[in-house]
Amino acid sequence: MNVLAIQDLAKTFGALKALHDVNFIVHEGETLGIIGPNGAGKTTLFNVIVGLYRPDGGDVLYRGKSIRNLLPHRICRAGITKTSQIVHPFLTLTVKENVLIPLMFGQKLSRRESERKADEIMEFLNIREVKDLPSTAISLQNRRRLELARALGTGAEVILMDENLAGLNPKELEEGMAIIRELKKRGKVLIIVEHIMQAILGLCDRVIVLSYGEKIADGPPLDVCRDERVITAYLGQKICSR
Amino acid sequence: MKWKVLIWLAVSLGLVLFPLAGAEGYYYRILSMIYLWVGLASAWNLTSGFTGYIDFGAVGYFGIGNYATALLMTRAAVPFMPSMAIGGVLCGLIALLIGRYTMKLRGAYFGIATLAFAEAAKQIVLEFDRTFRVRLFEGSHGITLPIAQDEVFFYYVFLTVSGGIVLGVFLINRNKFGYALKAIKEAEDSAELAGINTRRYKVSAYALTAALIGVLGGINAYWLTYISPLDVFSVMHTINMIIMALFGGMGTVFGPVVGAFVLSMANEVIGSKLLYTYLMMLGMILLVVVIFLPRGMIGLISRKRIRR
Repeated sequence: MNVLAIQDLAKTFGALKALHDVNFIVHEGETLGIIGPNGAGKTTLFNVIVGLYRPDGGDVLYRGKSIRNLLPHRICRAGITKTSQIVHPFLTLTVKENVLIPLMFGQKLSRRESERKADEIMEFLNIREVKDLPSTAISLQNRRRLELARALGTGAEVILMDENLAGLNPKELEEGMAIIRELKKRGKVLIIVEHIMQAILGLCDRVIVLSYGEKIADGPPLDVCRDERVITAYLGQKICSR
Repeated sequence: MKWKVLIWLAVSLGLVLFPLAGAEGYYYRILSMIYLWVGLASAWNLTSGFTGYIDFGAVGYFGIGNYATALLMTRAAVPFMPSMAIGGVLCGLIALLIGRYTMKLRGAYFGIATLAFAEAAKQIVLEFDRTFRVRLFEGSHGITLPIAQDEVFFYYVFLTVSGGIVLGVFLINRNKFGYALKAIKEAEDSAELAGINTRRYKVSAYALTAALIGVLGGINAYWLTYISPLDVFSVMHTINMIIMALFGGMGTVFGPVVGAFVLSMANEVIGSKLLYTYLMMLGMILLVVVIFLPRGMIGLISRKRIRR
């Protein structure tokens, strides 16, 4: 069965059609990349899926059940969450407390169990050294990892990652990609919005392309990169000539 | 950690035993007033300081608590303690209803809605009797309550209730409920994405705050023995709660306690001597605090530094 099915999804802001009848499905264990120019509707799509925005049309099915009318915390507990492009940690709380919150609320674990799981997650993401610092006092790389830690803390099987690798240096990018590969191995279903083509090509099983709120391509990464419409709308000549 | 507990025990014991010292009635009144404000500012802080939803209508629940107790005692001959408790529950229930809708609003819109609620409550109490030709709230005449208790009684009632509120906030600050409120303040969308039912926690905090303020209102009515709408629904009460919490440190456990203590004392000591310049001075001090100590007085002594 499909994990996620997006059906004729539409979202408008005033006169702007941010999403225009978008359709796609996500399979079990799949890592799906979403690319497209700025303003194509990628972040809007994520916000609709996780329930921060109400769609104006269409439906989102998670394992066959509609989730379009659920609030974000219900969708999160059902199994879908996202990491934000602009990181919004709980600023005055420490890194560890930031990780505890999804464990206590998303998974409804006891305090002791949450402490144990938080240690595991921070160990995995290599942010245990900074666990007692306020989340304002850590580097960008660690903030991005903290976003991911919070998503992992919810226990959700589907994680939407909105430019979690943006702004990192080459070494950090390599480390970030290794973490994502490990998550794949652990069976997480990942949907990745990213402008870094190296990451998209290196991580994704399939790629869909959005432009002006519409899906213009859907297929294996290399095929999509050679698609004429994708080249005109987003990639330009340089990448496809490689 | 141990010496901290000892200090708290000593301070609590000192406050409990204070009446044995046989001080004049004036001191009981001053301390009772300080406790009242400690309770009000702490209760207000629980919603507004912790979640960041600034409530400009908290006095609405104070007034409703005052009137609930006054009416129950004078019209239905209910004893003081049950009246006070019923008043608190009533405020909590009203807040559940109001909060359901106002807590959907963000930022200034929430403040405007709460302010409107408090003013509407005042107007209802003022005009109800004349409009419906009944004698219930007594309009602007106000209500006189029976005089039955001495100052020591109120000293202990205020000490117990306000002490309980501060203890409650202290416990909430470290438990799951407190984490939910703080997460909502820092990043409400992220809180939802982490699985927090933000509306439920916001409305719960708001109703709890309202109930506590309502209880304090009930004590206030019996303490003063005379209440009128313009007095107990005065917007100045809300403003006091806000500046006390702001002065001491919003969203901290002891900030509102410090703020209520310092500003109540200042009002009593400086306010009576420098009647005309006191408020101007207070304004200056507040400006300095807001600009240089955004975390309030408590930020001076707290070790946990936050860089923004």
